[in-house]
Amino acid sequence: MLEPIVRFFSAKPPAVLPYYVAGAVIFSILVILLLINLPSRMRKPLIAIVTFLAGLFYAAEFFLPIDRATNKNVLTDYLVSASKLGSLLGGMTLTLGILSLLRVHGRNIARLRAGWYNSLALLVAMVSMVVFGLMDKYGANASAKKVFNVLFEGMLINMDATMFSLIAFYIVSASYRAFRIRSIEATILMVTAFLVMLGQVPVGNAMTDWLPREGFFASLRVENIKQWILSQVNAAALRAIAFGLGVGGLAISLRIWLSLERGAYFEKEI
Amino acid sequence: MAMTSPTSQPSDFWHRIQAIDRRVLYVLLLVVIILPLFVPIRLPMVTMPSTQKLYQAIESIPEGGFVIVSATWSGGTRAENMPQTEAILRHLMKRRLRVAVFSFDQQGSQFSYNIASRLAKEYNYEYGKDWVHWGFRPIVGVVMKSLVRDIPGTFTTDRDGKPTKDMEVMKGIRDIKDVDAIVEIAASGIYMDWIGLVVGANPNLKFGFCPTAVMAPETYPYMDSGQIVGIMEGMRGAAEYEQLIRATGLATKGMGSISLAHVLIMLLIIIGNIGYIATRARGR
Repeated sequence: MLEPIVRFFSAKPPAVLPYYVAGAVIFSILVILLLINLPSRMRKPLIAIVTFLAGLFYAAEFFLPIDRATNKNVLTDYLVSASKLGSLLGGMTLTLGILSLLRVHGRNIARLRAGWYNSLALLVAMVSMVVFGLMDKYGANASAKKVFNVLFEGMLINMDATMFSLIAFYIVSASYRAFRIRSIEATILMVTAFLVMLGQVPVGNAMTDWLPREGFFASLRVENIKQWILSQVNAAALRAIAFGLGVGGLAISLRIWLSLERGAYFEKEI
Repeated sequence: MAMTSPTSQPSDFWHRIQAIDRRVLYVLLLVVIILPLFVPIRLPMVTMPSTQKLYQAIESIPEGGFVIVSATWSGGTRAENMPQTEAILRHLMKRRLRVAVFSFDQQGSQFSYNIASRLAKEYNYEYGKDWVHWGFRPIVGVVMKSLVRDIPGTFTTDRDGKPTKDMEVMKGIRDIKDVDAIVEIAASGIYMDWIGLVVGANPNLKFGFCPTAVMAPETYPYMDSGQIVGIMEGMRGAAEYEQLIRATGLATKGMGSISLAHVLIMLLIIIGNIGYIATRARGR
């Protein structure tokens, strides 16, 4: 039944690929136009039907018994196609995100709003990455490859690392100012934190390195205390949290799948 | 030296040690991180059971076994995840296991390719025969569900768009039952997806996790249950792993900085609390 869809999504020879891409773009635009022009009262039922069918496919594939010989059920062969469909949807949401960014920041630049130069920097960076990334991937231009490497490995990755590294400085400042032993609970928390921190680094190991590595006194070594805190006390608490989250997650998933969820977003007029 | 913030109006020593200027703290941190990189500090390091278990799990895979390494990290956690990736790949290549690398993160894909390519030269690993890079794969859940049943169908091409089905490294690999181990190196809770969607599908599969240190505590229940065979905890775990495979690398070199930074934070908290207790005692 789904065989033609699977064949349609299979790899295509390079000669006909551009036609498929062009067809997909035209089809996507038509679908988006159709959705935009859909009457308001039909939008919610449509979303509910698509959500239910998408969820039903994975639920049915998971729960239907498998044939022992092939290790598959009737839906298993369509999982790969579904995964490709998922990637396509991801691509479409990315397009929507880019369009939204262009609209918001394009307006900032056109009207010279406060901080317009930040919007300009964002758009220049985004367009450069896209252009040189595509040239690097599909072109044979050595200069484009160099520029892309500078942008990606030289700038993006290092800026990402820099932003993250700043947290260390804020942590030092915040822990020094905020960590006060104002109660018994805060004192227990601090002692536990110190033991875990010491157990995590070699300098902590060095402090109790004079204790034997085997036998009763070995359990007083700081790395063993840390291990006990993490694997016993911490693990028990985390199990309880994970169990609660699991049950809650299941309930929420069911509510979303069956479009029963209510609240700020779900009751919004679309 | 400016020891007080201009707004705090300190009245005496005990107040002043509770309000050291943040710029002084930043400089101190910078010094304790940079100094050990130039003046190495030799300190004893005990291998944690979590790291040992991961090492033993990899050791137990027979030669020629197939291991998937997922590097879902980016530049932000490079300091921890890069040494972890390097240590794991080094061990796999030392053991002559077949390796397939990929990433759910674009940066992670590039990083892991660079590391694997460099190590492949060192260990005479031939691309396509001994290892392959499946590139960046978006949408975690869909890829995982799909790879359980059909690995060549999920990863039809490598990162350069070359078909993978005829590659020697993929020989005999059909689904998750043909995989000996999966090692995820990540700065996120992606291990839950692996456990939920993949690990249970092959009872013999060894799933190792290499999180950042801050992520490690939440993964302990899953190691207790056996769903994660071993954990390499942050840079400390990578340094321990480097000791186990006898290859000093980035993590071992960074342990001095990590140690001193931890000590600095603890000292500052103690100083702040001494000031706080003294001030409170005087106020009674």
